Amino acid sequence: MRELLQPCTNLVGGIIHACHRLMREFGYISADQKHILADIFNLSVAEVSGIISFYHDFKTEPQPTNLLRICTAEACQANRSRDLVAAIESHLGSTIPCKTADGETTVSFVYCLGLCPNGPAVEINGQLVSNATADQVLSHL
Amino acid sequence: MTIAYLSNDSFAHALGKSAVEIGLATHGIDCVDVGSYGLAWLEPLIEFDSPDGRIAFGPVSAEMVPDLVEAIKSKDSIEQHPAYLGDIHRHSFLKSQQRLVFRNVGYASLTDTPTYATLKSVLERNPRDLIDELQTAGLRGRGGAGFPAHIKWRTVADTPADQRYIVCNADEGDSGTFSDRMLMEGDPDALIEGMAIAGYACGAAHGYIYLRSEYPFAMHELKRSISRAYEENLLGNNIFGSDFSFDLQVFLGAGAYICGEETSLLESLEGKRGQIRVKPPLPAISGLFDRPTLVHNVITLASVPSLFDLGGEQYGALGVAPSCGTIPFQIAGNVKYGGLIELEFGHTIRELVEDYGGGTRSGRPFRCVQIGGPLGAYLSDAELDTPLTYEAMQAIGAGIGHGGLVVFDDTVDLREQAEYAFEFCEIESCGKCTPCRIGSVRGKELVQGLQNTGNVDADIQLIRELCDVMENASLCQMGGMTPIPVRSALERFPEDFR
Repeated sequence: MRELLQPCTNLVGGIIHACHRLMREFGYISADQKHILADIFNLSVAEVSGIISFYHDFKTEPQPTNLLRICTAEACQANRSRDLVAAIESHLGSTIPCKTADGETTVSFVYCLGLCPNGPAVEINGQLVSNATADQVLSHL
Repeated sequence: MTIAYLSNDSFAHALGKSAVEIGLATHGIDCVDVGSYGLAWLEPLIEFDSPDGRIAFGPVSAEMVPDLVEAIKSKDSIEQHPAYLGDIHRHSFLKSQQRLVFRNVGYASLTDTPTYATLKSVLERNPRDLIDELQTAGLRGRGGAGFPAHIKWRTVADTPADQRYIVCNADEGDSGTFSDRMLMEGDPDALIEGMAIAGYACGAAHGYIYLRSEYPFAMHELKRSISRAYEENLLGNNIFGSDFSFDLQVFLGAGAYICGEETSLLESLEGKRGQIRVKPPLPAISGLFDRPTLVHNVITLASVPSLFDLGGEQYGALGVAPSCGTIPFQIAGNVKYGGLIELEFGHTIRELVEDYGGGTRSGRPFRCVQIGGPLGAYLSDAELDTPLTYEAMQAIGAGIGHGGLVVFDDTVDLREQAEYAFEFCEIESCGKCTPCRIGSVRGKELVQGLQNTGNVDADIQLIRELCDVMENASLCQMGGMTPIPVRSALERFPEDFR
């Protein structure tokens, strides 16, 4: 663990780099890892928790394998992303953000993928999709 | 051997670029990665070499590939192909643009080694001359505030310090904007070269690009270009054999809209919560690690090489002074032909929405356009003849922001949009000041409550008062500008709130 994180201490804003590494490696940042981060970066555990909780990308619970994010920004709203969200929510039977019933996919929102002329935009495990339809998205759930 | 130039932009990826590339490979055609010309509805766009220059096709799908390859090889009746576009530079969307920042994007191969000729030539000049020329050019920050760039540069250069920094704000989070992304994916060297020139002019030896994590393709291209620039000694020690050394790194953000605010960005870059700082001191005097720091957005810095190539006088003659030069506008949302339009300042909103955008994609009547991201005003048809300059937009209570225009048809409910403006502020507020942290929540509740309240007038009055508090008492523009979309919706579309 320390070998993974130690190189980050030489970087500007090193703890953010370290958190990204942990997210890539484990999918979340555990309580034990917070203590290690605090130790390496000479911060209190409270400060580390404060940093982690500030950023949407950092999670402190294990995450499902798949991640589906729907853009909810204004340009996608102009292309009926609200209808897309309603269709997916009615299929899932719960409001987004949520997990699918099988627990394998997180469905959440993202604010702007930079594909604004071709909305609605979604991202499925890092794969970008423009002009997304409900059927298309539901086929991944 | 046929060469295909295939758009590697996120636009193309999101519309099936990979499948097209695989299809072409099975026919023995290798693709050269290029950026996007910014005609978003024609992606994935592909060009083939011909004796008369490149011939473009788009949008291309994987199913189309066999026919397309046949047409290219036989050279017969290429024009009849359904995706045939001919010379893309003569396309009506592109031919009347004035591309300076985006001069290479779409055409230039991402794998070619750049020369940084502008950097080489400015290294022979006095840094002070460069700042003077920047002043002549009248370049203003393209991130939204429109602050004169030369004042920042001069302040950073003149503030005594053991270390100065150049920081690029690549946390482009506004909806309807994608020019930063397209530039970084299509010509990252323009940004890197611009930052190095700024470093030389301001006496800074270190630069950081703060990139939002939603843009992984941009990350890839930036890293590729930076390591190539180091290999070619276009970055690093003694660039071009001069005394000037400049180091550059990319820093990946972690999903926080507020980090597009410059002081919040600096906090984040220092490895802290991205909470804003109280200004003054300005970052140009005391920024990253309390050192003088030049913070500009991507397009401002990427404008620098083309500005010096053109010369300050000529650059300054473009636009409507004091809104000088060109700006890449982005037209998006419910629009037939969306994409990137680089023009000098002074064209009207209507030209962009109607002449370039071609009206709504849904075919329904136009209702409004939001300009400048989530904190920008909703404008009605009556205001479309406003020229796009900082001054004219300010006069109607709006702004250019990052140059993004989002078009809505008549199905939009402006009450919902006003509610969303507050909700967005609630989600993204850094929490440091009360007007933004609490005001956004109360604002959302008030707008939601309008449907059930017995006294709409009193509640709208309350929303207006809340907007005044947020505008005047918030520490930064997040809370300070959230009232802009709300008020514009209330004033221009009052019927939606009844």
